[in-house]
Amino acid sequence: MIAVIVMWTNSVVYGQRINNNLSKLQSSFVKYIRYPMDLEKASIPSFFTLKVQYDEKTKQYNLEFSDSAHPLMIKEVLRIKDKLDFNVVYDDLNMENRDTPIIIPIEIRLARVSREFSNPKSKVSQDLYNFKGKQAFGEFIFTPPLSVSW
Amino acid sequence: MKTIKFILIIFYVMINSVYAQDKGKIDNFKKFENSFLRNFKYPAQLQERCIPVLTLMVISFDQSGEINSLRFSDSAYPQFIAEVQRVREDIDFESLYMDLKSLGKETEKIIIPIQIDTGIFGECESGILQFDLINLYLFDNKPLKGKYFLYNKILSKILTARAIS
Repeated sequence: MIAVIVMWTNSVVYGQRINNNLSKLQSSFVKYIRYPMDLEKASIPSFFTLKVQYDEKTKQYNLEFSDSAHPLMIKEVLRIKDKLDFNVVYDDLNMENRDTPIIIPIEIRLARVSREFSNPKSKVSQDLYNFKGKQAFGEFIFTPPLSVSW
Repeated sequence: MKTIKFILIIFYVMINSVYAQDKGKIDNFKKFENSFLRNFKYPAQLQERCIPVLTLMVISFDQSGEINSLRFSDSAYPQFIAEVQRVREDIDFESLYMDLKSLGKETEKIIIPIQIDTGIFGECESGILQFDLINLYLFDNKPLKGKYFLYNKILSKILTARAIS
């Protein structure tokens, strides 16, 4: 009887932890991000991916931004980088080894979008996974997007 | 002199065989991509409205090289999915499998981004909407999550013109 209760309690706590792991990252992002005014005024949303690689030597995460990221947005994400705990991505998958880099889609959605954004000449979708002109290729941990409706 | 010639010939053969190997790797993906684009007929309903194809194809193979699972993210229109199913037997998935095997990744879950732009000459050209990008990562409304192998993307543009009657 006691064993059953203990097991049940454990599974409830474990369940909460699973949900909290990734949502912690999402809620930190939402809490601290300030969408650059210039982009908001121009009605340009942001869609790009973040490549996150753990550096064993510095014990830090290095961030790379795909080519569809606007420089102002890059600056902003780097500003709040320390508030983002990427460990949770590996914890969520019960992975101790952090060799495999992470790909995180970033989405800042706007209610009003400029027509420029959906211009046929736009390269946003083509550059989603391009980093300095080269497409990311290989094994990655994909996580749910960090997204904000601004 | 003879020795030098001999050495040069060996080098030449070595370099060419390495090049041929590389070419083989590129060719397998190209074979797969070409067979996809050659057989794929852009769905009329989407082309009429200049709606592009933007989706993630997630594919996995079993140990005998047969397709285990093939699915598309939510940004794929039903007409696109139906068309792929229609030509599925004619798509050279074997070459894709061979390429993955050469990379040692044939047992992984593979992501192939697909973007096919379209347009009707003189009328409209397709553009990517915020809506498409949001749905790109969703599979039955659930976001993509886990370890995957991100592979080459299929990128193309299929334009058409109206016949003048």
